[in-house]
Amino acid sequence: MNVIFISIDSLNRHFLKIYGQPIELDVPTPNLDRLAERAAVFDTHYAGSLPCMPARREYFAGIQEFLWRPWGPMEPFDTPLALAARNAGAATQLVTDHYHFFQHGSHGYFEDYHGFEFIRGHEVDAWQTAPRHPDEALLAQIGSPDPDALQFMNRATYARNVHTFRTEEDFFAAKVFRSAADWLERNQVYDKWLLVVDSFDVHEPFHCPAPYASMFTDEDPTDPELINWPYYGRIDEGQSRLTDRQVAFVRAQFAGKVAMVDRWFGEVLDKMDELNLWENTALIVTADHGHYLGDHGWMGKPNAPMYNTLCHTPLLIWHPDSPRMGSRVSALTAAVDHYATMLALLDAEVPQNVHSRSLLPLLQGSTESHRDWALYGYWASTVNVTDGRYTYLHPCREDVQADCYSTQMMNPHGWFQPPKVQQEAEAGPFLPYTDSPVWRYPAMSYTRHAEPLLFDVQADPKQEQNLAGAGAPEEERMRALLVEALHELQAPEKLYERLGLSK
Amino acid sequence: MAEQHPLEINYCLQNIDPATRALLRTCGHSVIEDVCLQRCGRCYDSPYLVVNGAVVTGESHQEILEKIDASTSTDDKDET
Repeated sequence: MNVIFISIDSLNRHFLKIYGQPIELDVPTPNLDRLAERAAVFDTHYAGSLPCMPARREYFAGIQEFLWRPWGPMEPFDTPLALAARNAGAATQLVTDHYHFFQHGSHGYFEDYHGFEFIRGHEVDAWQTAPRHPDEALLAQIGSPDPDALQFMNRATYARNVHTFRTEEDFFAAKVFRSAADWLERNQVYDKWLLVVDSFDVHEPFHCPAPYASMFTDEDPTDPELINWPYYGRIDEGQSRLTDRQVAFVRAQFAGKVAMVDRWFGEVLDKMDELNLWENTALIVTADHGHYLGDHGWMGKPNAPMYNTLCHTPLLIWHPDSPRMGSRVSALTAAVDHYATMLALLDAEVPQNVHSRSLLPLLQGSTESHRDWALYGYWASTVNVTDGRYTYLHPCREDVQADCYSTQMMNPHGWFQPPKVQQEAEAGPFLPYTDSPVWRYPAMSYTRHAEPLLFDVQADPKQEQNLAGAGAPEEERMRALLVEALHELQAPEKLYERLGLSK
Repeated sequence: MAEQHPLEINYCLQNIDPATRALLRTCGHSVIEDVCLQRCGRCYDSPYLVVNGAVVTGESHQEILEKIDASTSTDDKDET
């Protein structure tokens, strides 16, 4: 079996027709729709470790890392997906514009592929340095107040990166999916292969070419007053404050990106049709997380409660021999499960120490259930659990520091910044899933809400009615489920203290 | 003395230490904490706060707060 794995960054589930599209915009996604007609559509799929790179350690190493460490590299004791696939005789290729793979502190994700294609220039990818003074209207729209500053990660980098872009085909989604389709065309000589397509779109900046920029708004899409790269946070306070007009514009540009990504994703499906790959290839399409666009009063991926906008993610899987094709799957599944699933599809060995559970039995129809819980969160913050019916969001104590466990001295809250010497680090075999020594060092803890939040997402999918604190028996049951999950993963003792939970 | 108007101050967890966090939380202004304010280059360079949407830098957060309070006080005098 060959495998194509496609991650579409920040793709909000509720913007998709296949999930009912309960929004004010009619966003066309004909290619995801046509895949959904033939594939299995998973209705209860959840993110795990957030945001971007923690999700990738789940995808590509099968480790639910947020209980132990933040955004960072592959660890020496990880078995990267590409390495395991290579050892199982598969040719492996990565196509991506996800520049975080190539930044400070997140090495180890691309090196084991036989080949990788890096499409340059998204967000603040350190690519173009000219022109020194790029388009002023775009600088205003992306919120770059000081384009001359030579500090790293200046938003002006984006304006320089796209300075020569003229048509839709110059933009990132077009290049990524066309490159993936080209690779399929040129590599059918291999007996077995793995193609990983990691699209940074629909991630911000929500800068769209025509016709997508005007598809869902009557505004001038180049109006400098209308930002397309809003700061994260509450839309009614601080630097992230936005007017209703600005929020509507951001939502329209996000929707435009969804439509654009779908159009170019279609080229991969077209190539699968042309090469008749449906008979010998599994296709997995998912997203790492969502993105608040005014939902619950928030924008981006800020210090907000981890509502389903962010954590309930789309998943479609095509498997040539599965009896579930063309149907919906209600079983609870999680992002960390992709790792074991891909290795099982490739007849590769799944390491014993990982947190990933293959979806193959579910796909083969030999079981109706897959997992009793899915955990999700950011390191050093709240911990959240779902059983598929309820979501329970548990706050954390800020007076108890979080411990970071890694072979690296990272910048635990400054993920993109150069590594930092951790003077308080101790070394030892502290992790339950490896006997390797690692550093352990503390960092500040931060909560996202003061009290627990509980939602019945079947009855209340928008999570508007908090059931916690009213003596609901489900709150006690979900708290016990959280403890059970932490116990199963052998979470650090100190985490229980930070969460105010007894083991 | 004129009453000071509350300001909205965003600060970044990466840019502070626990003592500064305690200071900011009791500074009398409306403070908003985030794990990242998406100003990573600025954050790496020096202490900073975002005050009503504008970056203010200084040798320390204490100095920035004093700068803000002095400015607010001057504004109040101007208004009267």
